[in-house]
Amino acid sequence: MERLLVFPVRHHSPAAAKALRETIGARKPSRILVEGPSDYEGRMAELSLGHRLPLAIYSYAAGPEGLRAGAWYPFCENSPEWVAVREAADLGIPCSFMDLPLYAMQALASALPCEPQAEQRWADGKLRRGAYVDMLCAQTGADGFDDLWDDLFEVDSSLSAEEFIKRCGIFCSQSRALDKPDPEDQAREAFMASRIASALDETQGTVIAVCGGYHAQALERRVAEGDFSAPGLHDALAASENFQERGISLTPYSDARMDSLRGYDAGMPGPAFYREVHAQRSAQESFDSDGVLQAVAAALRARGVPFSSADLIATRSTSRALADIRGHGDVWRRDILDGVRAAVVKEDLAEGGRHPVLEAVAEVLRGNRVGALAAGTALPPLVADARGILESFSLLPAPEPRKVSLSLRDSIQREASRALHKLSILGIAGFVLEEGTDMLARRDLSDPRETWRIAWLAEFDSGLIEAARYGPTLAEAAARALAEKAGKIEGSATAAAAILVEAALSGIGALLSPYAARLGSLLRQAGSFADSSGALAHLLYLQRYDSILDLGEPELLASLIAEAWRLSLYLLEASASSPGTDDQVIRGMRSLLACAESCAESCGDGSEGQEFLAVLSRVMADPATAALTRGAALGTLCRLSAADSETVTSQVKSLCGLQSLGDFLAGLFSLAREAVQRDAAVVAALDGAICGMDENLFLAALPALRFAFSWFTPREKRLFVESLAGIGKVGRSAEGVAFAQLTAMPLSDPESLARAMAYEAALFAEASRHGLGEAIDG
Amino acid sequence: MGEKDAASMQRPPAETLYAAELEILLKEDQGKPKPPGWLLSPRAAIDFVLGDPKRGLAQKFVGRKSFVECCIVALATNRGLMLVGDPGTAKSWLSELLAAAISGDSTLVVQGSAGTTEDQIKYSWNYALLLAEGPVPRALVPAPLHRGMKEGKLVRFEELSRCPVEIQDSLLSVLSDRVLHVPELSGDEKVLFASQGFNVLATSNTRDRGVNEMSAALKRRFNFETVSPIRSLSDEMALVKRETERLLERAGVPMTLSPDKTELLVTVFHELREAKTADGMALEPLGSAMSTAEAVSVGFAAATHAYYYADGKLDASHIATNLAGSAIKDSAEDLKKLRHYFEHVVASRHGAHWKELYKARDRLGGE
Repeated sequence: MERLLVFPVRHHSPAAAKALRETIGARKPSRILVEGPSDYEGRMAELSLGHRLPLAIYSYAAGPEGLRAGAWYPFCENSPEWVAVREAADLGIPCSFMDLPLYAMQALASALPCEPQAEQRWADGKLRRGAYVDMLCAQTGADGFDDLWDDLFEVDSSLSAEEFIKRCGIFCSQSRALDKPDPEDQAREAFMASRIASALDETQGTVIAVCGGYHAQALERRVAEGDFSAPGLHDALAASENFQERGISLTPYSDARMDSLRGYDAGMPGPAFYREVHAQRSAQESFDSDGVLQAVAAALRARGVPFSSADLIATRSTSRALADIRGHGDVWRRDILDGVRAAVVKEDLAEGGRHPVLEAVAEVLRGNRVGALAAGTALPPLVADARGILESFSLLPAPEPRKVSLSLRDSIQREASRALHKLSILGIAGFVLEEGTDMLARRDLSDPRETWRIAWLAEFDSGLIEAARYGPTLAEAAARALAEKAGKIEGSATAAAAILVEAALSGIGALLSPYAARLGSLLRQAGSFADSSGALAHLLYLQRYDSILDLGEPELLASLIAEAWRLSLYLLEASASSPGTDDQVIRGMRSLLACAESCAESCGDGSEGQEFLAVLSRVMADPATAALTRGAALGTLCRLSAADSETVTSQVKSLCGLQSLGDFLAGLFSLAREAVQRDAAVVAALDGAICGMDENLFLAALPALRFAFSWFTPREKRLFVESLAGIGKVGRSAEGVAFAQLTAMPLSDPESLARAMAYEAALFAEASRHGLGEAIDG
Repeated sequence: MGEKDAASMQRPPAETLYAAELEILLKEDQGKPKPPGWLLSPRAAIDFVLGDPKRGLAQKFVGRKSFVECCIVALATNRGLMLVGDPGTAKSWLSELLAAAISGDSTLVVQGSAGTTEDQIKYSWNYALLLAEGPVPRALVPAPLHRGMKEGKLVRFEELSRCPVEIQDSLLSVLSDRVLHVPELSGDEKVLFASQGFNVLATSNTRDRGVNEMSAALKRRFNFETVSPIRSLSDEMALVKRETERLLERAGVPMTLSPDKTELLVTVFHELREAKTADGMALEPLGSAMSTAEAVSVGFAAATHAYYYADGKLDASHIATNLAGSAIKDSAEDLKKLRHYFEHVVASRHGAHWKELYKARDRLGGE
């Protein structure tokens, strides 16, 4: 009997796991090698610590020129790799990983043209995409790789281990025959072959090498021929010096992540289903799907989908019949999916279409298990650093959510806030900023506070472990993660400025200097008023916050603000006909106003202010400008005391009889509602303009008018009405007061009011047609 | 039915057209388990529908095998089968094929419409006999449902959702109890129990105007299967070419659809239907159903046009002319979108046939 058995697997396949267990039992090997990161060597004992599956080995490496990568090697009960590790431990024989470390693969990928690799290293990758699979699917009528694999390997429980190895070997080598391995595959295979060869040298007994079926035949050939060389392999292994920052560690994983079904990352779908198959078939020959069907029924009912016993019977019988017609001995995943769909979904469902029922089924098949590491597992330094920091502020998360309020004036609490901001930059789950003082609006700057909601979520530990690729300490990791985010921004000045805010809030302002040049260039590329004024708002926020943030570099910030200010002014005028959405225009105008006000306080230079007023006046007067923008410009002028009531009145009058009056007023009120309201002449002009509309025009302008008046508080609206009543012919009579009360009432149903008005108008028209108009009106 | 009869028929039913294939499958099927009352076993029925060139079985329907399996399983259980989907996705053709494979008879058809009555579904009377002899079985004129139940065959109900709801619901007791009451008759004749092999195979459009909502009770008695448009461009091209040429042959027009014209026709339909070009650019979705069946009829019309009026030289202008008239019909909005498609997609395509099509853009008319 040959001393070497290369065992081909599909990762996470229960059939492969079962066949492997039988083979190990029969062949009694003296060593087992597994396709996994060889730099985990020396910590294999950790895998037997009594963890809760699923979990993954997480490897990260940071190299020169921002090369930074992380990769996962996930394990669940039905992973052949896990079976190999466990069986070796039970037999008391050495088991080791034989694949290239991540940094070497990174070095290879940067030196030679390689296909992009999945972050989840045990995805099906090339096996899934091969032309051979397409051909087999076309011949057998299978719907894709997953169904094809199920039909060929999983469904038949009587498939022997020998038959599995033979069939899988043929399947994989045929797939590979139509597909050329890339340099990374070749280097990995050469490396694995050399590890196998030295294992064979070290022992007299049998060696079993467990690897993805795609590599099996190549490994056998390389070992037999002693071919351990591949282009780039030597350099890649020597590259370890360039990847000083690297690490490898166990991390909790989850069913949801195992099920990730997209692109390169696609692995075995429905982890809970295959776990159930594995559990049942480890104990008995057949697989009984009733448990899964009952879980589906429970899930559907929990979601409020009517699912009667009759439906369950129909689902069960349809699934069984489908299994029969498809030649499945046991009812399988696809049979269950189709059975539920056929019996319960009663509507048009496009191919691959989504449906709540199908999503519920997919959720049951996916499962909701989350892994946990056993105590004593070695973790990357970042975990200890972050935990230590959180502990020092008594902020370690507990399963019970709590709210923490931090005062930013207090230096210790400010440090705590910065630590929390760093965690949120790293995307660590469980820390949510619920509210904070709004610095831009300058509300209550005497005691700026933040409220955080802190709770322990299952992803907390895995998040920290995986963030370790950014650096060994919390501060370093957050800074690098932010820099990476900054590097990815394209064409958005607002997003670039938001990065600065994040940096300041988390106390990593040191990042500011190298980043400022890039921000400046991004700012100059801003193509819209919304974008540049958005950036301006963020920068102003930073300036306001400066006393608390100790950002340093006030000159730099001031120059950026000046740049954003000039650009915003230019873009406001240049794109006045379509400056952005209503909301963006109003916010942008407010930022400009806030900037003008703060500059007037601090520097007192008049020239910038004069330019601002000139731009606003031109925007306001240009008839091609959108009405809302013109209103907002006028409102800003009012706020700067640069427009008197005569200007406002004449502007309002000039729009009399136009539908755009509503938009204009919305812009005006959004910035200068107080100034407008206190000026009796303006109120009178408004009254005249609105009362002067005929019914049709009024109804057309109504939505915009309603939006415009929504800027006023209820009390202000009441004052408005009262002053109107005072102006009007009714005077402050009983009638006037009644009118005021009537109009101040909340309008629960504006639509019926509008309908009533339309009806009334028709009534009056009809009456005057019969010469009765005067009589009714009187 | 003899072959001569089939030749003289304008459109022979599937069981006549493919009688030889049914013959082969029946022979192969001997001794295989099949649901009571079925002509073919479920697996043979799949082979009949999807075809198998190795055994001389023509491909008759383009679709996923798992989908056809679901359809056949539904008919083997005690629920009816409802095929839904956009117009022109070959729902009726699939239903005809299934009836031919399972019952050997696809002619028990009720055509649903706003004017469909219970008489047309269940039974009516020969009034002369009724007057002469009273309500006796001899005077009863069975409609498709009555015949299907008696003979143990599939009954096809086309466009079920076009019928008024109360007419639709007359199927309820038939589907659940498999019993048809004939209260006019007496004794045993009063109740007709369905023979083995009976089931209802309905189709229904989801996008058309003039359809009625189905009651929940009736929905529960059907398994729904959605017939999807053909995903693969090459499959659709093969189908359109084959079907168009068959129509041309039957119409006595000795012409074929050249590969580049087929490509034009099918690509245009495919892209407009998916509202996406082959290279991923998004298009405005059309209101008209750009189905494969419409592509075949445009191809047929264009070739016929060319044969009679252009000495048999089929060029892109014939396709453009018929595209507007036969596919877009009366929607001015869709015509505008079609013109936009010509200006922005067809204009930038390489290849002489695409250039030719672009040149013919004024044939779309409606300017």
